[in-house]
Amino acid sequence: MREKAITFGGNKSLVGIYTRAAVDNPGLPGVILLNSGILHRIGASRLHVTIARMLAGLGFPVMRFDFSGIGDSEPRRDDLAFEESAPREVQDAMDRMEAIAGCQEFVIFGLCSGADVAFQAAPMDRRITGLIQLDAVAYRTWKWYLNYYGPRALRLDVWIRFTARKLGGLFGSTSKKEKEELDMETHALPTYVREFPPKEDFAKTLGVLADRKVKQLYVFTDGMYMEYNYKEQFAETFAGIDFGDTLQVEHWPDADHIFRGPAPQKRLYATITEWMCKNWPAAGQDPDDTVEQPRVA
Amino acid sequence: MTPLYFGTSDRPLFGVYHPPKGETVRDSGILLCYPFGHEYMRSHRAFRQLSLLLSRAGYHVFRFDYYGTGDSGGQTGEGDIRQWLEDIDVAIEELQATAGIEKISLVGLRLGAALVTLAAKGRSDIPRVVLWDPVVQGAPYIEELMEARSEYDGDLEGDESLRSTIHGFPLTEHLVDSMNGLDLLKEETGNGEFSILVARELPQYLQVADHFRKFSESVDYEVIPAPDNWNEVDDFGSALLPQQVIQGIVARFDREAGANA
Repeated sequence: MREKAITFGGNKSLVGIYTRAAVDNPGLPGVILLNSGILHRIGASRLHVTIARMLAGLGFPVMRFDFSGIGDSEPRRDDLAFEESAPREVQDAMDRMEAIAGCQEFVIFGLCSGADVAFQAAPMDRRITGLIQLDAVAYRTWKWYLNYYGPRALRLDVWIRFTARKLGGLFGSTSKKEKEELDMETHALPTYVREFPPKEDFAKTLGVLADRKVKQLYVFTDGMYMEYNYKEQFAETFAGIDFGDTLQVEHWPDADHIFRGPAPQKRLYATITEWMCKNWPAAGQDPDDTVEQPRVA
Repeated sequence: MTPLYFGTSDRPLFGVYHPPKGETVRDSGILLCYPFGHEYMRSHRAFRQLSLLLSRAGYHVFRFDYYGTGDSGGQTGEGDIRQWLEDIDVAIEELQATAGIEKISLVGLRLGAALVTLAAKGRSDIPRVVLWDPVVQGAPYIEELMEARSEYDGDLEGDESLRSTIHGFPLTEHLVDSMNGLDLLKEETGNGEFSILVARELPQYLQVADHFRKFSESVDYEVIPAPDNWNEVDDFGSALLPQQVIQGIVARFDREAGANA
């Protein structure tokens, strides 16, 4: 297996790592891994490096890269907002992968904001035939409220904290907002602020992707517990959309948002491997034998 | 700026070379050495910015990922102190060959600061070593890391090779063993120039400055108040860009260049 550092996009200002597939297989899609928030391209817990090498071992060409202004990529010189520039840069990455590896279709992987960008890019470009969405956008249902508030309503410690908060507010203790402002002073870079689109807009795009038979894997962790707290929530939220066999949704309340623990990491690698091999059967290999070391290109 | 792989085919390392920019081109280089794990993630953007500023000051600048970290070869958790010191030697050679220069100064943050101190020992081609918020002793550093764990780092699935994960990065028993032997207060340093830049005053920083003065006539120590909460990580791994320290490091090299002009 080989890895190569590449630059691409306008002014070659985007930096990425291309991982060549272990075996050339023109029938398999390229895979592109997107930044999560402001974490650079290796990803939280170095997940992207492991996933790139694992999938390349299965025969998929893979690229991980930094959006403009993140990691090693230069800031853009135009005035485009991130929401506009990022999906275009996904297309730049696909163009580069097409030129390097001859890929005709792509699976886009994203965690958190990366999932949001992947979802924005998918309706713009028909080359995208698969999405891996970790802690993607979610919308509460009545059952979410029941799951969240039901057990809490019976717990004494919740009522004590609630009452203390109310009293603290009356007597001028540090508010959550004040604490956040203090925290921001010690974090010189702005943290990523995530805004969910209206549910109707999200559903409309999902419908477009379902019509195109785009294969989608969603994994929701405990990091999304304020928005997502049971496995069927996604399917119930978008019950009117006919996904056929293109949708797989997982809910892992024992995993955190950046997959810190070894167990959730292994589970993620196994789930992605299984999902990729199921949807692109030419890739089928034993995942235990797929993590190889790169060589100097 | 040129991202590239270097080293050997069985041990590839990833680095980024920043050639000198602007009117002045200096005949020396600077190698930047990252900290470990989540501290590496937090400091990545700061290192990029430091690289750009030093390259604008006319230096050849190189930063790289140790084996088993970042984009370099190897699985996460494979590295240890000895291997990473070898990697620094390889990176120095790479910068010397790429830029056609001999003199290479070293800048290290946290664990990287301890590594550059050790890497400079016995070498005559390292004129200056800059330690930024250095890890002085391995054992207290490991304790600090263990305290920084999140609740999600606790479940190791019975893997006996692991002491813990720290915000998702494995702290292997092997790495702990090699870190335990780390103690800058017992090291005989090189006799080059040392700069110790810290964001707040701690006893161990003063001790290491005093210790280095036994071996080098040029040890400067400065407290530059700035954020240094390297172990605080939120779900988005927010970056830390202590501009004051970054400017302080650049100023050190500017002064040195002025003195040599």
